[in-house]
Amino acid sequence: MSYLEYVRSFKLPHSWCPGCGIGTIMQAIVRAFDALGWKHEDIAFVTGIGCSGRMSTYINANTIHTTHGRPLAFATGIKLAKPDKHVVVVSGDGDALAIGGNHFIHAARRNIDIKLIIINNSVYGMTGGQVSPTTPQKFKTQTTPYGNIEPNFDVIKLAIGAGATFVARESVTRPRNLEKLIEKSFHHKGFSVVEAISNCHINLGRRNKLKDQITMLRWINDRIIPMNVAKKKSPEEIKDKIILGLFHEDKERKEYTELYEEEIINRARGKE
Amino acid sequence: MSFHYELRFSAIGGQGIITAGTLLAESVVEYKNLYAIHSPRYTAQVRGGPTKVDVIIDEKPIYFPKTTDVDFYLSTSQRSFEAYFQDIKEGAIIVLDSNLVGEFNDPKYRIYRIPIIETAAKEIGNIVTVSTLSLAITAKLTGLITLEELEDFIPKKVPKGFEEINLKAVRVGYNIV
Amino acid sequence: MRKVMPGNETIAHAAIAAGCRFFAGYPITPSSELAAAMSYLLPKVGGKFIQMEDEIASMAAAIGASITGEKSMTATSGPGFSLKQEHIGLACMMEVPVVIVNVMRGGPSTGLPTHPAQGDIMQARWGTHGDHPIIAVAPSLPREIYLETIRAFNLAEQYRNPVILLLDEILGHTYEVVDIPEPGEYDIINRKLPPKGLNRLDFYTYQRDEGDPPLLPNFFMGYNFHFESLAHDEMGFPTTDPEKVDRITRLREAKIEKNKEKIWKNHLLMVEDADTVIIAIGSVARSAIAAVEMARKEGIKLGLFRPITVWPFPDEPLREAITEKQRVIVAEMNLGQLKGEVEKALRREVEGLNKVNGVPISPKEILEKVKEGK
Repeated sequence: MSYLEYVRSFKLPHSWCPGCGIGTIMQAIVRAFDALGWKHEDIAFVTGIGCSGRMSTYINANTIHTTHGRPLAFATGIKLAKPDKHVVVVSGDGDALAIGGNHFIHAARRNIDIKLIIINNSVYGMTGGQVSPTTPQKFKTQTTPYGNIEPNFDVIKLAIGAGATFVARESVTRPRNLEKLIEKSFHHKGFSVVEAISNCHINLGRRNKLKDQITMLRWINDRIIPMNVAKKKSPEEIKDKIILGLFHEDKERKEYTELYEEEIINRARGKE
Repeated sequence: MSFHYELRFSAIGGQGIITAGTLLAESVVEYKNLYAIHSPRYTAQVRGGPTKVDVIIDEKPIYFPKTTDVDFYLSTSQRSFEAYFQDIKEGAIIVLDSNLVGEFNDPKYRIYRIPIIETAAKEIGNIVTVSTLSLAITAKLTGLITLEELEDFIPKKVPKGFEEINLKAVRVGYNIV
Repeated sequence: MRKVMPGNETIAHAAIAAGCRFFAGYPITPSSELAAAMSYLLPKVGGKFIQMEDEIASMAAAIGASITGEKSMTATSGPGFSLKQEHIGLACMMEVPVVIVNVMRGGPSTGLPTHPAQGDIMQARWGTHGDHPIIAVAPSLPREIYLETIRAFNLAEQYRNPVILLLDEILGHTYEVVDIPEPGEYDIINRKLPPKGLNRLDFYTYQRDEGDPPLLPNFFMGYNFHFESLAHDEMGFPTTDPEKVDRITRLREAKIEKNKEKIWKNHLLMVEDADTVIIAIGSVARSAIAAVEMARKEGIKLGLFRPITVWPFPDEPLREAITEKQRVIVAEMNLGQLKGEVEKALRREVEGLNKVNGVPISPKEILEKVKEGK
């Protein structure tokens, strides 16, 4: 089976700007589906609002395009109702970390088997380029014309701290690594987070001297560093770097819907 | 006018008086085939604050679920007694814990003073029997439910291992008045 | 079977009987006992209960479960109902069956959490943005709470729409005798599904005749259906085509509008010969029943028109039942939300008996208002 089986080709061309990183991420996702051989009728694919939210239109599976920030809450209902199905959520940095921050930490805390991919392009792209929780400091956006003074969320630390059992980061500049990492996260039983570093040269780059795709991707490429390379460097050398790789994997902790079945359903039915 | 009776139980949260009201409502539904409703008053202070429960008993379905003319009022706390002293009918039966509610005399009411909490703790031997004791006192004074019915009802409602002591409370309550 | 329980618990038992197998909620007075009852009862029948991180998430999770085919419910009050509104709109847009219980308390804002009110009648209709269809039912009596809960699920499934079950603090919290109906005494309606094995591209799921609900598949049926919160075309995909957007918006409205006679349910008590007719819902209607009994004993010709279906509003039944000569008093625990609708329906001014202090309207107060004359 080709990975194109997982794409609604009749909905193409897609609505993203030329050179947007979302296309690369979408391909990594569908190739991971293909590698795992998941039946598309067994996949629930849930998105929120923003450029990332449009991906549910193009994925050939059971799809739902929900509200801003809440895809994880919808996905929690889907997964708890049908624990044997695969539930994948794609969310942007604003969607997952600002308006949806509460759902993010609580889905992680529960360790419910939802596979979350955060497309982090450091900006609200669809609404015209406003500051997000991951916009670099000093960067200009539509709502920080004098530069951003707010520090960023560290998605990795946030996810680990909240209880996610698979936490990793990759970049659109390394598409094959991204695909392998997403595939690995799909194998994981529990709440997984893959932060995919992406580019928005249109609504973030052009205000910050990174106005075309190549310039912005180079800027990303200069900042990323694979974990195995970073380990050999001094803390000073990697101070401003974005480390890529698998940060946390806990295979021991029980997954939420399994616990629900074992503890709650069985107790309620009197067979402890 | 068909049979209609209104009761109020007030206390300090945690004393077990609210349970007496709810048990009374359940028992008249079970044994007398009457309609009964009870509305606990909800406050944030679950322990230590004034609480009350109102019970309405009627032979027909009850449409307005609030008390308007209270026939019977039992209280084990000065503060709660005063806080919920509203809509008490002339001629109503008022039962007060003699250790916990101060002097109250009014010829408009039939007033009984009984050391409810002390009796439960000392004579019966366990303070958790306050609910059953208050229920038995209420039953005796109002005639809403008989001793035999309570003796059948109470063991079904109390936790395992507490049946005997609660049956003792039923008998003590019936005789203390 | 006869049981003593509060309205909140009655709803939980009825929901299970209706086939509800999913509940997502968040603690809020005065509806919390309903969530507590569901957390105990649902797992016994293999259903799922989850307390979500907030009201918004619990509405979302209930919708998420529903699109997989589970009958699902959430419950809330006042501020929580405000928070759920965006997702109620989403369920209207996607045409997803779901039941929302709102146990009304005093508002606005935090208001009077432990006291009754009926201030959410308009919010139940227009709480979410945009033109959308809605059904809301408001039972008054214990057995009726049970049966209307089942009907709420039936209506949600039949018309693929959110249905709001409106109670108030009195009905939610008062323990009373419930004569629980036997399973044979009510119907259970399940959503219609397309047969399995069709080519998904051959059938246009949101396309239907005017007045029909759409025939949509559940998730995991093999149709890879797309549920869309944006304005969508007949296949469910986003569109801004004015003709398509107009058509589907009107089709959504029509499925309720064209079936309103089947959805309406009213209780008329001695209206025909009445000089004065009270219009009331929920717990106020109970006081009105008692007031009618009291009035008739005194020789006063008082009647009651009690809408059990509040939305769609029973305008035609009101016009049919009430004559121009009859005096009309709308009794409600708000400043005239129902009254406005009644005036719109009867095309004349009527009187109001309104209370917004957290204290219920008593039968005596209704009777006094009647006696006081115009």
